[in-house]
Amino acid sequence: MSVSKKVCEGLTDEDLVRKSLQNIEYFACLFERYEKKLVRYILRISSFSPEEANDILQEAFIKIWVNLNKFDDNLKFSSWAYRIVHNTVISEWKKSRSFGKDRNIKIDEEIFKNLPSEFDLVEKSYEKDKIAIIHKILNFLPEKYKDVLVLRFLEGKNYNEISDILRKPLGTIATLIHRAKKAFRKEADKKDISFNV
Amino acid sequence: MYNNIMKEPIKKSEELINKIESSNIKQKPRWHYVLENIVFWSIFSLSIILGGIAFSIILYAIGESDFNLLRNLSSTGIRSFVSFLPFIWILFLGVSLMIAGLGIRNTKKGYRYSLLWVLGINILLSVLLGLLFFYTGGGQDIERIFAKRVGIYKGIEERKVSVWSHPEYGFLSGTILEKQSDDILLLEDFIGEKWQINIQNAVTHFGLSLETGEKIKIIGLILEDNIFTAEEIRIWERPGLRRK
Repeated sequence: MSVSKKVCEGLTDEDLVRKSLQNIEYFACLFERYEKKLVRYILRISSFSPEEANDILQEAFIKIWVNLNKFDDNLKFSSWAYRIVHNTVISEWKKSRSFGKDRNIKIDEEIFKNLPSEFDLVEKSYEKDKIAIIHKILNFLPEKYKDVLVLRFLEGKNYNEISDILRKPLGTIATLIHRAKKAFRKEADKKDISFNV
Repeated sequence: MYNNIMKEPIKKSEELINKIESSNIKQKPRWHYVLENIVFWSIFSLSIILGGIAFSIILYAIGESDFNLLRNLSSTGIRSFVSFLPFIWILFLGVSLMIAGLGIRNTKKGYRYSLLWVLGINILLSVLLGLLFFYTGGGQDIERIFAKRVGIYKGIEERKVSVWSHPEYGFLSGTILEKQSDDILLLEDFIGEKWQINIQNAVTHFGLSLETGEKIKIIGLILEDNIFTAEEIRIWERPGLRRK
């Protein structure tokens, strides 16, 4: 028996977690709610293919399932899910690193060459090429900077959420974002692209 | 992947549920996390208590170390004085603070606090607890038990005895056996030798009664064999530490 989509839509994430503990079908609702967002997130922070990203997401959701009793209502489910997905990506990346894979995403050089020269990183509606250049520049940054910038500007998370996702103090997140923005601007300048970060 | 009956692609969510059910993947029970949290809080609390004990012993050692004697000490004396410093307890305090930090950072919301904040709180709690142990004499008692039970550890009392058992350098200590007159004390040092102490021109520190049975430390000069002239008489144990 599967729970209808309509029933799920009326429930909050926290309700779905509670109900999932009784009925696994509700867990499918949670998965569907976050599937696209989280696959996109995996692709943003790694060089995994979409198929690999789907496998990683499944693995992350199995971890979420195993640890569902650990979920704390004081935390947003999305933050918790992002955290587990983030950690799963890191551990998968560590495993695959021995096969020569890195976390940097591969961007088509042609797209990169034809990009406009000015972007607003805070702007929410990105075109494909804008996202490509953002990714390209992010790839030149250390992982710690890349992680916070993706969460802040591409995933639209606030400081508290980023703190919960990366399990770092709020002050550290603020500092990291500040430094990451500076590093991003510097990297963009090197490529003669102006960003409003 | 396709559903065999409907010939429709299987949704990823169904795939996930199938995998969980077919592999019989179970959730960890709630008590597991409650216990985990309790363990980390206990590690934190225990480390703070141990840090407090270490801090009280450091205070005790510092209080007993007579820093103002440094100028009077020869190189041998300085060596024994430096060995008197509670390095092991400073190390122990540092390790306790680190473990307490790890404990709190691993609790449910511990990551929200910065390392500096965690360290500051740990130090504050250890200091407060250490002061409590110090003034109640608990730290001193633990240090003595430690000295008695751990063979390789030289206790503060023992170190103090070795610093204050150099009459040739002007440092003598022991227990008053008898007050022979207003100016003469009979003292037995910690090796068991008896000394006649001339206290006529000695400065006596506050809190001293100079009665039989009292332990004292003396700065002065040897006049003849087992006759010592005291210039300054100090209490063996600081008043705040003496109990009963």
